[in-house]
Amino acid sequence: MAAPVVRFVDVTAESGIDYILPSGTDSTYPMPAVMGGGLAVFDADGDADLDLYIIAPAPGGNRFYLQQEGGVFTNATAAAGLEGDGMGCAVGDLDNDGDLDLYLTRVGPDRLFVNDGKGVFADRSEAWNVAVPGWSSSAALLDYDRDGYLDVYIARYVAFDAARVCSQHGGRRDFCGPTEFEGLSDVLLHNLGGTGFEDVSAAAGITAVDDAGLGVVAADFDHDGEVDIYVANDADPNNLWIHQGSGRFLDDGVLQGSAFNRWGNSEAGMGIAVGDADLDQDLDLFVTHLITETNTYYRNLMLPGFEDATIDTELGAASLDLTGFGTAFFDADNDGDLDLAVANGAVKRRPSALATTGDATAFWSDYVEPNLLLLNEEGRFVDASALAPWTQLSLSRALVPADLDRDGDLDLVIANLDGPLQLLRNLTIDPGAGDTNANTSNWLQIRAFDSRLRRVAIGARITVQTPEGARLVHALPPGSYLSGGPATAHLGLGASGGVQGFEVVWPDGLAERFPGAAANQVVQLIRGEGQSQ
Amino acid sequence: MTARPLAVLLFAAATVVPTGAQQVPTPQLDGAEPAVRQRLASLQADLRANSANGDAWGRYGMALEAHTFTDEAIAAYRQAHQLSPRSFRWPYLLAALVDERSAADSLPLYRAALALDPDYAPARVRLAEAFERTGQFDAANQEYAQAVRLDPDNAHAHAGLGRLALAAADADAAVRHLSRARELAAENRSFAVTLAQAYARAGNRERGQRIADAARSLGRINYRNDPIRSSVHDLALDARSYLRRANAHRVHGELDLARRELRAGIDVDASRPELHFALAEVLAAAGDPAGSLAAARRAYELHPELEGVAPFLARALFQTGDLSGALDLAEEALRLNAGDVSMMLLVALVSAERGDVVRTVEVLDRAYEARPQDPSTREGLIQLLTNLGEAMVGSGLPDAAAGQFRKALDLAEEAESPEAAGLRRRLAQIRR
Repeated sequence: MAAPVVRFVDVTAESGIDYILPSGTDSTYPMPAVMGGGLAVFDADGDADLDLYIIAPAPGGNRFYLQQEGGVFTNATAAAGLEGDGMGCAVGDLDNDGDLDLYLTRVGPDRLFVNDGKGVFADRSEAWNVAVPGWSSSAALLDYDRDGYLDVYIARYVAFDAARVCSQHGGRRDFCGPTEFEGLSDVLLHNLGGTGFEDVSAAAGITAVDDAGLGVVAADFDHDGEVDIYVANDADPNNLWIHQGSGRFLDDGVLQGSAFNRWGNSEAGMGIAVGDADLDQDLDLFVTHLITETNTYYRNLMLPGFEDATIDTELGAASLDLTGFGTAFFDADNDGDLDLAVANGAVKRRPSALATTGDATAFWSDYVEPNLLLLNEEGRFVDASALAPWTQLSLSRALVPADLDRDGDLDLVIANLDGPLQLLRNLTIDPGAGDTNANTSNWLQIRAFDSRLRRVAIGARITVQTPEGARLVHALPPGSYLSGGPATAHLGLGASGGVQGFEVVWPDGLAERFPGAAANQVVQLIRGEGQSQ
Repeated sequence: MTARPLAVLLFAAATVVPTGAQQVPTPQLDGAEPAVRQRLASLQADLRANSANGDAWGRYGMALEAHTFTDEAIAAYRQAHQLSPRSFRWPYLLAALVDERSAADSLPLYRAALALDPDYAPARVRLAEAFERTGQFDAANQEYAQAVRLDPDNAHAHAGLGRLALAAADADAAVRHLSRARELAAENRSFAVTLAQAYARAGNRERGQRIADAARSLGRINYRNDPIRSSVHDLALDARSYLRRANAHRVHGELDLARRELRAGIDVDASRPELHFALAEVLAAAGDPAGSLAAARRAYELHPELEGVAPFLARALFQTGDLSGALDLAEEALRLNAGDVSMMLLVALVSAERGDVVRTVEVLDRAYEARPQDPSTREGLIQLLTNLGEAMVGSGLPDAAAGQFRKALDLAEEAESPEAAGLRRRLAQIRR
């Protein structure tokens, strides 16, 4: 089958961002240098444009860029108070004051930056008690106790020891892998009414395992009304923490078929994509992995449980020779189903280097890889990465889909270690003057807003009645790897001019129905303004 | 040139077989360990002198593969297959290596190998797995079944049949096949967790949970009885490979072979604490406490925070009667891992021996709060609490003694231990 075409163009050069994200690597092969590269895409200053926060493992390497008119970004790191280093982040309104705050994960104590609403942040790490020890990787926001305040789940990685020397290829020095170190148990921080956090990890039951956590998403996977947590672990079995309803979580990943792949193997779980990829009204999972392992698609069967459907969906072959990190389900072509993007880059020298130098620095020439765009063609994913910018070789980590230019299709932002950021503009809509490849597909962006809490209702489940049938979307950040992003749901509508209605299950369990809407707009569904079910 | 065509080209360059003189594929050896460089250089010299000898190419390919120089190994195997077309070994090793990148590309190579030796069950299992990975489930089923006919004790073939049944929603058949695989390879975690899942799908979550819980103690070992593939890994000369091979021998109780591998690894690189620590464990298991202690000391000197080494050394010193050394190491182990109940017990034992009642009580309190689940640790704790209680009785401290017996009784009752009745009686006596 010929690969379908969805065109992206790299607009980084025109964006005003020329920053090279520093990994901090050196001849000692420090492991954080090859695992870092985080990203937040969010509206920091309330002007409706999406701004960017680039997170680097090297000291002082973080950069914050405000988007200005015309899609140009300006460095506002110092003015915003966002200097420092880190691994990843979560973005959300933690004090319910109507703006987006930033939780920064690090190798060392985490940090919390509280937004003043104008894009200026105050470091409130101490007051909020976020001194999580060890190596924190990705973080997810959830309101597990339904008190209206967002709690934070932090995946932690390994007890890294810089003195450990690792090698491969006949003894050549290389980065250590996770099995060289003890894994760390994850952390759940309970939000104390928007004033600080309390560590409730032990009471929640999540300290029962100490695996090497990298990716995390929080959502109600079994539709029992309680938010669950899925953690991708590097070389350890993945965790599916099913919320028992009283602040206690039970890891049911093994019996529910999402801890190990089809072969019963734990894989090198890095990033997670979450979405209803098979359009059957539940959340499926996609986890990225190491070279010689495929990325794995866990189809939700709602038994409850999942099955590894990587083979059926033809998602294996494209990833076998690559090491995947950031990933997201997103409707690249607005045709109504979810496609996939994957950011790649090796963590150990590849068996066959793809670059000598070229765009890659000499140090990374054995590690750089191309990224992947996989388009959903009736449930099978077709590799559509043969054209630029997907052929670019880089050491990519975080990846976030977001409508940066607000034209109705989802663009992509990718963080590259020791390389420039990639802003990939989606040309599905508004391809530019003279371009005859314009796709006429329609779209909706849906904001599930709780005015009592003054914020998007993260975790809200939205069923949209479209002419093509019911479609399930969620108010969820993208998951991915070391990333934070918008919790606005995006729905491609193909040729449909609108939708007939929305049913929202809010995180506190209230179900409401809202009237339909015409295509090609941002729809705000406000809690309490719908018809209760 | 785009990246993906470039990758294909590189792959092709490593696998194409030109006519005439074939250039010897030479990997990047900067930074490789001297033993590896020497071995590969020696094989390259052999090859240049015998470039028409397929087996020489194959041996070189095996050495390359053993040290993860995959591209070069593929090229060497392909040349070996070309020059020795009647040898089963070269297309089989080539197929298995190609399979790591593309199951589809490996299929004709497996078929070529099996045409030369149709009865080598491990190859038939790998062919079946390649069919499974490419979605050819009927063909996979046939090959797994054929492998079972050739080798009824092939656990991987039974597991394959189980996986296919599970994917086809036949949970009962999956349980049957995977149970057989687990019987044949009890150390294999993959079979256990897939069986656990099959039980859950079949409606028996309780049984599934028991199997899943038991599987937690299993490592990532995926042993295959495949002498041809194993012979490749035996050639690796870098220090980590010695450790890997030693661990495989330990799993099968082959302590002498494990010891030999570890000593050879230490000869290659004596600065690796994990080799010394593994040797200490092997020597202890083989009944050589003095050798074990020396190896553990060396591991600790090289890396005091290496997981498990401080507790191991503490126990070893205790067994030799060096209580002072044992206490220092046990305290250090607790500093590294505050939740290690076995070290708490060791500290309590030595502190009690030295008459340090305050420290004894303190660590036993911590151990009690930790509620150890491991039966032997729990029994040890119950015994120490009981001993402490009796000592307090002897010192005329009945209230304090009752407190210790109460804790011992709590633990015994939680474990539903038969000791609970005796402890209950003794507690009543003390209280009277």
